[in-house]
Amino acid sequence: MSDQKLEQLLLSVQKPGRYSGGEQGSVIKNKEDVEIRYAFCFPDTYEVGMSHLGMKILYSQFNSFDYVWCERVFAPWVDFEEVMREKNIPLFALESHDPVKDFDIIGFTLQYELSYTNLLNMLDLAGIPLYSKDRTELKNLVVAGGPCACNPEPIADFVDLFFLGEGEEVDMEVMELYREFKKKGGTKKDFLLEAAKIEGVYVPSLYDVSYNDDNTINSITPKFDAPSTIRKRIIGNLDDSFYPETFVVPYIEIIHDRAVQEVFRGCIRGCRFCQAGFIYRPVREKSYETVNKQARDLCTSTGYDEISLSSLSTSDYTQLEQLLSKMLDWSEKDKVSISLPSLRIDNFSDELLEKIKKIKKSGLTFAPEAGTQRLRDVINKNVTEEEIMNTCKTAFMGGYTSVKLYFMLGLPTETDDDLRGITELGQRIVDMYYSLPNRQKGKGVNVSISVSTFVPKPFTPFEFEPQLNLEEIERRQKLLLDSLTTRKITLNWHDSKTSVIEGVFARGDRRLSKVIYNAHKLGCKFDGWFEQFDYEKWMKAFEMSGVDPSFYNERKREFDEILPWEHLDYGITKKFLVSENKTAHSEKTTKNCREACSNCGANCFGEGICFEKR
Amino acid sequence: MRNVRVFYEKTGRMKFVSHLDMNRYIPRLIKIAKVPIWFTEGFNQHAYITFAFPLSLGVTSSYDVFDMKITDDTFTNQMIKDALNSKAAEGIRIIDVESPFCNAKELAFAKYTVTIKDSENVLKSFEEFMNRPSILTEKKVKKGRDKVMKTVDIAGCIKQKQITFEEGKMKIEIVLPAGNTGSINPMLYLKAFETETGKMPEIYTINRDMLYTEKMEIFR
Repeated sequence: MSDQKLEQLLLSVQKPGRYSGGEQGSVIKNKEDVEIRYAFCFPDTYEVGMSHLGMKILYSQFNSFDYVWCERVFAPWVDFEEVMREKNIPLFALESHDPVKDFDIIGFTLQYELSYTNLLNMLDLAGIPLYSKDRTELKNLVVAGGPCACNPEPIADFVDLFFLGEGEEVDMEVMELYREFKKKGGTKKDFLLEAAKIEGVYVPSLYDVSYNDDNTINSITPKFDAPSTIRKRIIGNLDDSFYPETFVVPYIEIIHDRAVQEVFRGCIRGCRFCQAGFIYRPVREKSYETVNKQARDLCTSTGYDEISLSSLSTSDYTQLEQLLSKMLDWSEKDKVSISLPSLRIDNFSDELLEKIKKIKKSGLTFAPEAGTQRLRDVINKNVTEEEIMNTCKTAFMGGYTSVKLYFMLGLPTETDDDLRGITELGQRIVDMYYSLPNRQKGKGVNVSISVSTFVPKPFTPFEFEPQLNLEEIERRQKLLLDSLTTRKITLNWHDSKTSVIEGVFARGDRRLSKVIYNAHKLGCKFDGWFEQFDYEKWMKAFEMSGVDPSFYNERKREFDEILPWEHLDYGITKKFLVSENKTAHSEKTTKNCREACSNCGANCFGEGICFEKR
Repeated sequence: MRNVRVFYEKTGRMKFVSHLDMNRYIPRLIKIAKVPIWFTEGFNQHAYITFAFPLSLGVTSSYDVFDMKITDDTFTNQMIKDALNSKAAEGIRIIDVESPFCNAKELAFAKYTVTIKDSENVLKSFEEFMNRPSILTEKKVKKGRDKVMKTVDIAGCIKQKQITFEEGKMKIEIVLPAGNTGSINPMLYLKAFETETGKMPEIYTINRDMLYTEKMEIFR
């Protein structure tokens, strides 16, 4: 298809800028001059993918090598997909507009479970066979990484190779190996056998999974020389690791249209529901001088007027004060505002507020997660009511009139009283606002409470817990709504049906691959988008495949059950998770990494906070 | 401190960048080019840029204009032009940077070249359509604070028109009103044709060639 024809078709759909490419910062190379063409596929729309930091880092890094050309591919929206199928336009990359099936390696990032049908749909649109066994050549190798790679079993039949952990080093090692194999004309089979020897590389076809009569896993057995467990990779020294000097700057409006600066990885807190906090351990900080320099370089090269300091818990960054002071030296002059998402509710001080106010008055968001102290202790969210009230008071006295609070429902041991605790807490915050003498005159308060449904995740102490069934979730949501006593609280929640499907795939095994395949055939896509998600189709897909979804999400796991991710090692030991689960049920808390080591196992990497003086 | 007027081309893949997107892109370009632009005062400071005439999505332009204030008089117009061109994305090229000659309100007309490619029947039919003395269509117009649909005659507002044929394509060069007194988009004619015949001719390119004052002098 000529570019001219393509351009005309683009003008017939919404936001053609999603597909046109040519943005400032995008990398154009000569395809004759490179040895490997890598298609970085983000299984969601342009607007979502372009906000993702990991993609920006890897895109820059891969392109810094002369022999690689990495291009971006996003999931076409439904209107353009229709045009593509009608006019036989195969999925293409943004920079060259070349078809994805021309590429050597097709890499996906697995950000959330509900993106799996998009992954299949993109392969389908590219004209590439969905099942690994049907792809016989080395070319069109399908690889994937990202947070969901910690339990990729539901898509193990579709992906040739997974990257576990952080990609900056292992990705290039695999790329080098591929280059070698391509040059000498090696086979895909031999390549995968060789790649499996690289630490952090998981080749699912080298493992056989057998099941018991009750459908639990009997064993996960490696074939040939494959290692019995695969350990994730981490980057030891973040100061020395690759970080881009510039980003691709989109023209169209995206979800987070600003420069993003990473501050540290991992999290010290150990909240028992939080997968990210555990799978990115051990905590490793970047020095504030590095953060400052990288931040400044980014703003200068992109022209962005806002930079976000990103991490799982930015107010836990030990060098935050020094960093902000250094940044304020130039940010005001360069007209760049600093955004601080992910603030802890228990260390939000007047000093921090003062600094933030100088930079930008954005909304304040905190996550108490549970409405009563008892339940907060169960989930190890070590935040007291006093701290919550004080933080809101600090915010209100500082001139804020609205605050957003995140909670979850369906947490282990949760009772109706715990739920009422959420709205009662909200009411107390509203009352406190009106009791303040110096609050903003004439302006009412708005406490926005956002409640999502708990999904038990692998590598957390709650990986053994059942998820609530749909009926119970809806009953609890109604209870919350009925318990509201004021209009100053806005209550909203995440759709429960999507949480159920997420719950199935989060702890799923390989038997789910036919469900995903059937869901794709039935037309499921963009499942993370409310208006696209079709629960009925999903239920049909389960039925067609002879799989009962409740086996995965509603079932409690015994401690000695072999879980689908048993062979994947993220440092956190099962012993620790079992012990934490028991501690949770006794309503006791565990100290954070900075206070005392809880022996989670992440010290096996020999890096980070595990070895710092306390 | 002085006012400057920047003349630029917007071609190639930039045609997919809407006017709103340009409102976000140009200030960033100015920033990375380190051009000393004046920022508005107040809490939410932003670079002060005014575009003479928004360009629709899908339309390329050989001559487009925006104004800005420069705070450093030692930073010459040539320096501005060079700095912007050194950082501009592919598809944006600065033609010139001058001090404004006309008042922005003096913009009155715009010349477009619309190239369409279709069967001979359709092309001939469209040529006839364009040559009619009266073309009625629905257009959104302002009524107080609202916008309402009104039936207007868009034949009479064509200031100049020339239709030629080459290699199976039809080229329509047309001068239409632009600016405060009410602008007419060349797409209106194609849409009106579609309403009547049910057929939208296949558009090859639409380019805005030039901007003019009331007296048909080049808008500078």
